Amino acid sequence: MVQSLANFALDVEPSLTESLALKMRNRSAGPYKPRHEDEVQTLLHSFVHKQEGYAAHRVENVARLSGGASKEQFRFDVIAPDGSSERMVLRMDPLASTVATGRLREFQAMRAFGQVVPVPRVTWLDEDGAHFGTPAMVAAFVRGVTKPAGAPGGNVAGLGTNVGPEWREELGEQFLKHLVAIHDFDWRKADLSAYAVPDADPYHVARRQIDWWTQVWLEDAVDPEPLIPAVEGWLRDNMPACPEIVFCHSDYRTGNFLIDEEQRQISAVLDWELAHLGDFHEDVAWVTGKIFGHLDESGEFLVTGLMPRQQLLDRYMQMSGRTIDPKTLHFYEVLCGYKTCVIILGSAYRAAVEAQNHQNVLQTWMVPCGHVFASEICRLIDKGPSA
Amino acid sequence: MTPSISARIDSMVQAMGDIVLPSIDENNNLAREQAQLVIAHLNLMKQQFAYADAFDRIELANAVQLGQQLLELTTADPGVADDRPALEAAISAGQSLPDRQDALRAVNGATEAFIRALRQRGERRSIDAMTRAVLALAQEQSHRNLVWFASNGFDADRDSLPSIESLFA
Repeated sequence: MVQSLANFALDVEPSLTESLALKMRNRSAGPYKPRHEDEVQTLLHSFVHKQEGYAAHRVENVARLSGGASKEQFRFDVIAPDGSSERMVLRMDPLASTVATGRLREFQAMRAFGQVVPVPRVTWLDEDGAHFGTPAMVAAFVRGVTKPAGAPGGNVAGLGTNVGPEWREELGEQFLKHLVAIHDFDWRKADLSAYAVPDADPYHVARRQIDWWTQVWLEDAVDPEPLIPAVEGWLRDNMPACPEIVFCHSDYRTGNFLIDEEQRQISAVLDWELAHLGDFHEDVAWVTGKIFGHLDESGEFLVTGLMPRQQLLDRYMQMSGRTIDPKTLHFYEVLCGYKTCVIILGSAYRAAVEAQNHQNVLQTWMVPCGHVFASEICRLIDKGPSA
Repeated sequence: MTPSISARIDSMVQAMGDIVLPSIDENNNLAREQAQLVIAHLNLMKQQFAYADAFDRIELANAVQLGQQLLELTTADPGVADDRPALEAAISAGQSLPDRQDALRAVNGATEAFIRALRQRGERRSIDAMTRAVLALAQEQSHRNLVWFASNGFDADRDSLPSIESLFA
């Protein structure tokens, strides 16, 4: 662990603090052996039987899903006595992950947004891992792909996904429409009890994000990195006020939504585990991250592989009625870089060297992408906010 | 006569690509992806291994340079006077450690601790100078790492990066 000289308490949401504490307890458990499908089938069978109205159902066709650098995922069919079936997905924590988050938070977010944007319907939760031995949740399986058939390419975990020119415009508009809907959602009326509401201090929103990721770095860093505390300091010196608290998805990008190729629509927004109450600028800044985009056929950079940066900012403002403040956006671009450096250079690397993840070879492959963010942080701070 | 590292990596890549990967069930996407990642890792290691020692040497020199710069920039700052000896000692000891990775960890660890101390107890002028120094060296370090790992394909500008060999020219 990196030695901290911090003499102030870091303010991390209570439910996230619990997840971080579980991660630290797991650290002494030794290497993680990924679950075999037969073992998962047995666990699912008994789990499904406990659910109301499912005592006579059976579980079949358990198959591990690829992707998911953070959580282990299995699809399976639940067969009713009359022979009808439902396809579902089990999402469960490995011992250590790229991000230590709570399944209750994710479950609540997906349930709350089920009527707002396309989201897999969540069904069951094993919040503390009493049944599966590790926290888990179940949701309906949604048909779709993260990249259309024949699309040019992309990297692991959906990074840099290139959907191809024939999809960009349609997906880009839907992508922004759903982002605006997430931010417009009245979270005060939803059951989001696992989320702590920021206090009246307008700087609390930004400070809590810095504190969260600083705590993670102090716990997870394998190799010290002087850039991290220097950027943490810059962030604390440049915190913007947040006049409007919205619900932020926090990992909204190409690769984290499914596309129904027949309907030519986004069929599901996925990966809600980093969601929190925050500033809409954070989600906008996240989308613009260099690692999520690519150059198009003419050499122009497309943010999240869908449209040029300025187009995304303009369309977001038109569709949402919100004004993007360049200085606040700049802060959140640096924060997103900081957060990702912590996740990749800290947590992902830690999970791999401790052999506590189900995809250690993927984690070590991904660690160098932290340098893309480190480079971006340096460029962003040097350049300052865009006009 | 011993087989070279390059030849051993080539044989592993061939075995993975010609024998192991085709024998994996085509519906087992995770296993296929893992096998492909093993091949990609091996190919990257083949590119890097001849330069690995030189790379570590540059990284350590960079870390020592930053630590020394921070000491110089804060000479007159009483807030971190008590923190200076630990960084000085780490730089001195780190340079004599036989394993460069251990040395890098020791120097960067002390530097990170010094930065945190400076943030808490240092003067504004020192903090600003520290931030500039860290960012300047981090930019160099990031560029070096982007080149070193260009074949991972994460950098959208990877086609404009120079070759690994150029880092050591």
